[in-house]
Amino acid sequence: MGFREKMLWASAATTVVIWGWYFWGFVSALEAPAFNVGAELGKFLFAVVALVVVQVVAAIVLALSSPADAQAPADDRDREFALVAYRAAFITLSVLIAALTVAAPMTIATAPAWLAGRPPVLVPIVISNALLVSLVIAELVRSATVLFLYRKGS
Amino acid sequence: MTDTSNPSLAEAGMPFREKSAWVAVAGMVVGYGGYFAMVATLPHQMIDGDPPGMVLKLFALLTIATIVRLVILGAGTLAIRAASPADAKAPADERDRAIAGRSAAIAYYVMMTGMIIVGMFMPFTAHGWAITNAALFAIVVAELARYGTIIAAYRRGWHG
Repeated sequence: MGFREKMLWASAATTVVIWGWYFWGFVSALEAPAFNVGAELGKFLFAVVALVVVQVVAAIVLALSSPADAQAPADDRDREFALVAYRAAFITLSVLIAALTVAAPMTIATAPAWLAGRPPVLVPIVISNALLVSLVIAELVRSATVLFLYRKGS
Repeated sequence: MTDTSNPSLAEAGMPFREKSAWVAVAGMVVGYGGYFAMVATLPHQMIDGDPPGMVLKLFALLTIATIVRLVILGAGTLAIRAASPADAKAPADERDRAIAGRSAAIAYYVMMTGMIIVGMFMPFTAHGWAITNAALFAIVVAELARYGTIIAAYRRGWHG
């Protein structure tokens, strides 16, 4: 397995684990009777920092384990796979965001019912987290597409 | 010898995929340009706090904008297909695929940037419908970046 493929596996795995942990906690917080905005913001910032740190460490470890492979420039095959993956990710993100532009007004319109006395700031927080889920899914589609193409082509 | 300095002759040689991109740009600009122009003229006090009646009106306006875009896209695509049926049926070659991939990559980063701004900063400064509009605006800008890259690639002879 090449350096780029290993990096993609590491990136996809950390994305699933760290964002999975964050969104699991966010949904649990939404179901709780009281929503602590500060605590959720703290978890979000922790997830961003953890993602960066883990991916940097993974890149360093993988580069040290195969230095020649890590320094090799992307070839035509790598570039072609990347472009195909960007297209898949772009379509995914467009569809998800378009769906959100339909779902968000309904979320806003029905807010008084589901807020049930919780702070109104929850409405934009829910919408922005839905946007964040869309970004995470699009990135996973991009990684999965390249990994699929590497596996299929190898 | 063909006179390529004549704009009409140059236009006759325009690839089908470039024509499609122009049609898509026209649909986006007319449909969503009209929508954002109307939203921009609304007084802030009418939409601040997301009053339910206004949310439904904005949603109806957005639906109309989407229908206008799709009508332009559908009619335009039918027209350019009728004008050059052989070109329309030709499969995408390596250059077409490279241009499509490159334009999607650029658009993806434009949309990611837009979503990060909308998702990370706007919840602290804006209300719900403003976030929806900003997300929609990011889609429109990303799509325009995609079609703009396709058009520029065919115009300037890039390989993608």
